[in-house]
Amino acid sequence: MPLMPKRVKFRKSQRGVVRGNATRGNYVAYGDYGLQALEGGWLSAECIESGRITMTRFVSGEGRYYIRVFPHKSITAIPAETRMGKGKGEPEYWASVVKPGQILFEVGGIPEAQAKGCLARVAYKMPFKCRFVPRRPAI
Amino acid sequence: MSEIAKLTVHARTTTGTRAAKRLRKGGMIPAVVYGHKEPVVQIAIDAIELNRAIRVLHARTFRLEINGKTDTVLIKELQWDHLGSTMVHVDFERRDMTEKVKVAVPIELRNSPKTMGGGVLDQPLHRINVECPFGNIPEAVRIDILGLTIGHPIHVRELVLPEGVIALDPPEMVVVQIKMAGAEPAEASEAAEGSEPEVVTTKKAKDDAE
Repeated sequence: MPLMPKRVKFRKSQRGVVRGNATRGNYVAYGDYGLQALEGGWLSAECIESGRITMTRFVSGEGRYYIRVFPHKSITAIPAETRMGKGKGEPEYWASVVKPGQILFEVGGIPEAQAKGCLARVAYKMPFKCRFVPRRPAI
Repeated sequence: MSEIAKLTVHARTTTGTRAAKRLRKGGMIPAVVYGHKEPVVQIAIDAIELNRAIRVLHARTFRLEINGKTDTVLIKELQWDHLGSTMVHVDFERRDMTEKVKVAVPIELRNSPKTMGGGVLDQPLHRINVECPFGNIPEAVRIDILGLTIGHPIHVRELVLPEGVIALDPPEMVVVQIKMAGAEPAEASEAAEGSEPEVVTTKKAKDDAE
């Protein structure tokens, strides 16, 4: 089942614009390697779930994985062949707003080659261009 | 002990965003040196040289020759671009070799546990905050996890640190452990009990009406 908030203040949200780059959540914090988004947009809860399933299959029994994004935003849609008006549509799915540089997933406890293979498969399912990143040098 | 690297420093008279951008285009990184109640000096460093010192030599202490005087400095802050691929700006702080400094030292795991017991390796702490003399900053804290077993984590208090190095993190903090896979609650299953989330404002409005 895809992720979604437990409680919200309002059911529907305005669209907003994805501007700028990620200034937070843009480095590998928990695991050893991460998958970084190079483009901005909405990442649906279904996409996050498919990435999670892929990682579970790959790292199960060996390492750990971390999901660094959460779908806080409800996305509405109006049904097909509906006339204009009658207000805003109903929530269709939940999504996370992603800016370029955001780390989407992290893995730890597995060798680099295995982590690369795992995150490459996850990247294939993502709607953005992504890249594999290691931890930043410790200063 | 981490190596003291030497960097070629170029004096910089211009400041501000535009000047810094011009510098970066020319393969330099703007930096600033301060501390010891001496004047703040704006400098520029060769990007390739600094990159090599940090990524290859793992240096955090440097010798800089500024205006004919050599300063030993510590990286106080390192700014990266949004992708974390290039360095944008460096803050250097002047320090004496005997002065005590507070730094974060990376933790490196050595070997792999003999038996995992069905668990997975979990390392909650990747860097440890320590206090040590400036001239004696350890490159890394290395832990042998060959004897690590399930239910017996390694805490900060069990780390063997070099002489003169004091850990600043709480002693009971877990550094590395073997955790049972799936022991932590899955967020997805918790949140997904209802098909729609609870709306807080609607509830309040109903209460008010009553």
